Amino acid sequence: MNSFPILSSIIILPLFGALISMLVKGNDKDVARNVRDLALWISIVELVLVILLCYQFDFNNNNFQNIEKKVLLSKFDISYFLGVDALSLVFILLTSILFPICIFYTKFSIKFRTKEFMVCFLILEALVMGVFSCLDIVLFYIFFESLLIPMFLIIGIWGGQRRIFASYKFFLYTLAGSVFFLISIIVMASIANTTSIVELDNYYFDIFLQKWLWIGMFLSFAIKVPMWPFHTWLPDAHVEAPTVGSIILAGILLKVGGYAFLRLSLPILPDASAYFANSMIIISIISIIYTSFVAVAQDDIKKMIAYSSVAHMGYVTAGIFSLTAEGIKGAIFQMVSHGIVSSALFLSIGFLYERTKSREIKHYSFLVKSMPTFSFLFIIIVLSSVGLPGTSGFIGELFSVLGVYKYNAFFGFFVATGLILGAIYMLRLVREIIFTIENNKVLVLNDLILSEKILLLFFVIITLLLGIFPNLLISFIDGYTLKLIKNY
Amino acid sequence: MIDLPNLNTILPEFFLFISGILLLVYGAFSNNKNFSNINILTIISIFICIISISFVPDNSSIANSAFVNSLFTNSIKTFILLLTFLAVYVSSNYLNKNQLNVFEYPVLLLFSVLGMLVMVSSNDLIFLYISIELQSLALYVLVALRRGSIKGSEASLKYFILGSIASAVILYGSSMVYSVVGSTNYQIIKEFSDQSYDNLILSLGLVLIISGIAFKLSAAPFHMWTPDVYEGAPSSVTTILVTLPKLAALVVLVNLLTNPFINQVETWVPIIIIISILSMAIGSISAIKQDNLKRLFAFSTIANIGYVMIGLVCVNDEGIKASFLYMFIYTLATLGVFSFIMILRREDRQLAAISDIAGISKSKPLLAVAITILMLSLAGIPPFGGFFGKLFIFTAAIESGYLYLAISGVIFSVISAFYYLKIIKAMYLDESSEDLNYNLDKKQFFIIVFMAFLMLIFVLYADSLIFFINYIYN
Repeated sequence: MNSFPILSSIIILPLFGALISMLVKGNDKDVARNVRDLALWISIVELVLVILLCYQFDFNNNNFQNIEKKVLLSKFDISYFLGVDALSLVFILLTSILFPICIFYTKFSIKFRTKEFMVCFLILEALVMGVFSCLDIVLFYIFFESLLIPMFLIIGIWGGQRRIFASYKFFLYTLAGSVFFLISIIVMASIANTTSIVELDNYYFDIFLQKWLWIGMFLSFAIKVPMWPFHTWLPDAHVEAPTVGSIILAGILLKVGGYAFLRLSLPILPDASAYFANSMIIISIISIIYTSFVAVAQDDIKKMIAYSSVAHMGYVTAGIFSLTAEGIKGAIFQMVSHGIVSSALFLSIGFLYERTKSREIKHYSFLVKSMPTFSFLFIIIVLSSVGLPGTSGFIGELFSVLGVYKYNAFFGFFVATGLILGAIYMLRLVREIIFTIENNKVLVLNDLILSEKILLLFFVIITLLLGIFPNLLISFIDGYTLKLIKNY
Repeated sequence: MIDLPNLNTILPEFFLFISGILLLVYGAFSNNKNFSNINILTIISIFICIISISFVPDNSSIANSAFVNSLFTNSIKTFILLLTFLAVYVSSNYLNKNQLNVFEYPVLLLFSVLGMLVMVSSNDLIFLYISIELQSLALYVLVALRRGSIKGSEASLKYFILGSIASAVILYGSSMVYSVVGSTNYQIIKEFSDQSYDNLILSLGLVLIISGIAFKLSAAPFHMWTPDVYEGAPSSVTTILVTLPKLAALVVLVNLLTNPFINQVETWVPIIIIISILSMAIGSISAIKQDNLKRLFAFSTIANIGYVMIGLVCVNDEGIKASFLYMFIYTLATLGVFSFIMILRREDRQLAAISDIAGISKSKPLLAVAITILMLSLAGIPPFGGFFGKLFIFTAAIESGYLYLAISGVIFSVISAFYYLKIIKAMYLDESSEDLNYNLDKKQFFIIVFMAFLMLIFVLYADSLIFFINYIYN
């Protein structure tokens, strides 16, 4: 089994699928159906492959596994170097779960140019898998940057009214950050004369250099996460993106930033990470509190969820830079939880949007009457988002706050206020759209159809499962966290 | 002067010259003015010329080493001839459709290429000047080929006057160098400057020569002619203008700077740095407002030349190899882009506005994908070829201690990403108002897809390519 290049298959299969999809010809309706089925099957095979990968993963071994290496460029030995550890595996699993769901849902939300959409989507999946499984920093950059292209097209072609503005902003904003990451990579590579992440982990850069390298990386990752004050592209991108685009954006692409902090900044530049930990937590606190207040003021549901994403990712960065085992576990847990919860939230908004073509809070009222199933499931998701015990959101936020508290009690207090602020706007949303009757006007909407119910229920089950049995994930990443934290 | 045993030193140039003359005679005297015959003959002579390069001995020279061959010059010549072939191949239908199918066209092109081949090998300022003039004069006429068009005439006049001034500046610089050195041979100039490296007149001469070559490279601040000439010239000529002379001029510049004037580093490095930053800045910022594809890519060329210059600043082999790698990627991608401009034709009318390509992704999906790849490659987005070009340029800059050049390079690459995105946006995001069902020219389409494919799989052959560049350059 070891000889089978399972990681490469995971990356190549969607690309292959994209190539096949491009070649499908015929009348629009048939093409759309066939291509969607093809993409769905490919993403399901991906899921199977990933489960296989998890199955043969040795949890007692903290080193990288399933290693594949082939030198691409002899300069610096830039190589096609893949491998997974527990951290990568968590995100690969998350990706492989979210993609089939999104592809399934496109049946309802993507009405034109389905073929192109599926091609973009499959390429996106391949690139995301690449980001999470590569162990060469230049290769990482290649995957990290290439992600922009399909996402640019997804927002730009299938987006809402201001889609062109949003897609440009998304692309250029992210690119502007990434190029400094590239400079950091080149500087590191020319000093250490290697681009392998494993070897860079063991290489010591002097502290002055570390700080500058760290800042270069920070600009890129902070925009990706996004952290205040680099978050302004996110609301636009989310609001204009089609529902599945938002799901992938919030569910996976934001995690790339957090993943990059954990995979690159912390192990390669430990001194600088420790040096900047204070400022990072302060920025995270500002992120959490500021965007929570901004979210309170929103009229657009999607925008509100987008701002709440920024706030939730604030816990992630705060947790990571508390540099404690609890904080980092909390951050990873929070990323997974947010991946599930925000996807479910965007999916719910998508359901509403399909029915009324409106995202305004004030257009919805008393949904509990007309859409009882939706309301029930939606409330569980919202509660998970605000961190109610028993849901996955609670565990992530608890651990992050715990980590920060351990680092500095004063900071811990501020991070914890985010829990209350989060509850304010999310519960307001629930009250306004689900329980309030305005002018006795009750919106008549059809409740969820079966497939929609199943999709949403699936997310609810996962969030409850992770909330009640957090050890499923925590024990998974225990070894990784201990290894990472050893240096601090 | 040339005794027969030495003939194989200049075999390709000699052959190109003879075939140019013969084609001229054939074109002038044959009653049957069949353009495609001449075109085929041109292609055949280009190929024979490529073959003849293999008979040229490495490290040979004639005329008191005024004309020097090496493995490096031979490889560059082969590449130039291959590019010429591609340019002829891609533009044959364009010329037919636009009534530019006169027999002078391939003949002039051959003479221009002859000039470039001599430029690459020249090891003497006089040879350099004559070859640059030969190359340019043929191109001036080619630019003026569309006699009826006002823009074409304006372009050719502008190109001719400004180009002549640039040539005069090179000549003036050469005469200054000659006045102190007493010779125009590179080797003797080098020996002279070894002894007196702070000679003011020598430096002034160098500055003038660099300015003249920078004009040929269309590097800022000597770039003013570029957008107008590129727009006014027939697209097939623009295709030649953006690829071949740039490569030849780069070789000339590298030869000059690393051979006779290597001791003058304090003089020319700051100049090249300024040229580089200005080119990147002007190329990136001015292109944003352009609506005409040809003008837009004229500015894109200026910006790309700026990146190439970064490699020269490093004053080491790594940097120069990175420059040539970048130039290689740039010429191939630009060839694809200008084939795209030639292919845009609807109802007997060439198109060149961005709005004309709106919605092209629906009717011509493969074309749109290929152009997207070329655009992203030019913008330096991974995993395409352009990214690796920039990666090596920036690596060379950082390793030589020019971190600020790398940083300004990446900043301008973000700015230039904006206008490359504009083209992708037009193809995918905009709706078209006109019917887009027109037939594509097969040759041009093939070149576009082929170049896009080369950019796409660049990472797979990058290592062999870099190895090859290492091999020929050392």
